[in-house]
Amino acid sequence: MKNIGSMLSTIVALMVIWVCLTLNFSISELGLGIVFSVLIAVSTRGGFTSNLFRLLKPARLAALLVYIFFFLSQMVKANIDVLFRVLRPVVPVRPGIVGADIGLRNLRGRIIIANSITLTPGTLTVDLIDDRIYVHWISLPDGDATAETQKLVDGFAKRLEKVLD
Amino acid sequence: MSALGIIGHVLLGAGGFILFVSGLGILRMPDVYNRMHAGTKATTLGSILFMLGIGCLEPVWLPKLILIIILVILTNPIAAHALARAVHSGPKDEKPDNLERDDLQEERAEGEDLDE
Repeated sequence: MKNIGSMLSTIVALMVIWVCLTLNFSISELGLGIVFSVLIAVSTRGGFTSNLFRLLKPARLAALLVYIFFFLSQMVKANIDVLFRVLRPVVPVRPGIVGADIGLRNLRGRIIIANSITLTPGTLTVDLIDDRIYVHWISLPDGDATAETQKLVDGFAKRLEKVLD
Repeated sequence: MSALGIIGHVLLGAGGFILFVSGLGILRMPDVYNRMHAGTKATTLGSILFMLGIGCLEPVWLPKLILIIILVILTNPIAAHALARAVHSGPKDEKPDNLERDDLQEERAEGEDLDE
């Protein structure tokens, strides 16, 4: 029973989803939800979520909020960027794929960073091999593209690191 | 019309506009990867604004809409990533040839040299 924490967090996450979908607080509905959540959590041994209770420290919650806010602002910027590119008479592109190191050991963290980079301005994750991430740029940054890509990845990695450990 | 209703309609309009730009981008961008840029970022924010707009008009649906938003944020980039990866590892003559540099290609080639 070493992963009881992740099993409990699976149950909580599934219950939240259940309540959001049914919007029904009668005892029979909630009971059915608990039965299914426990069944799924036990049969997957909590494989869906890691132990989410580790996030419940104020410092980590604050870091998570900072990360989400940073991510959302980057996403809005990305959309304005795409908007201007698409609406120009000649679409300005100078594409290229650049590699960079993430430097995070946590596998879920790497995936979160890869997905975040896909949704930020001018960049799209093409491949993720071990610790190395390959980013496609709409137009390569002026100057040293390798350093610029590394800077972008580090910006996300540093903020996420505070959430994870 | 209530204030919430006005906000809802504005959000619906903005979301619709961004989705339109996304579709236009898929038509206008010159190659596969760049089309994917337009098809991922803009559709994600467009859908989110649309969901929020619907949420303002029908506040009872808000929990379900927030679930949809989270799912869209989690799944959209993965779909784009899978497509980009498939293109990159696909046949050579179907890949765009306008890349200025391609680290992934180079490092793959290096790896194959080492294997031999």
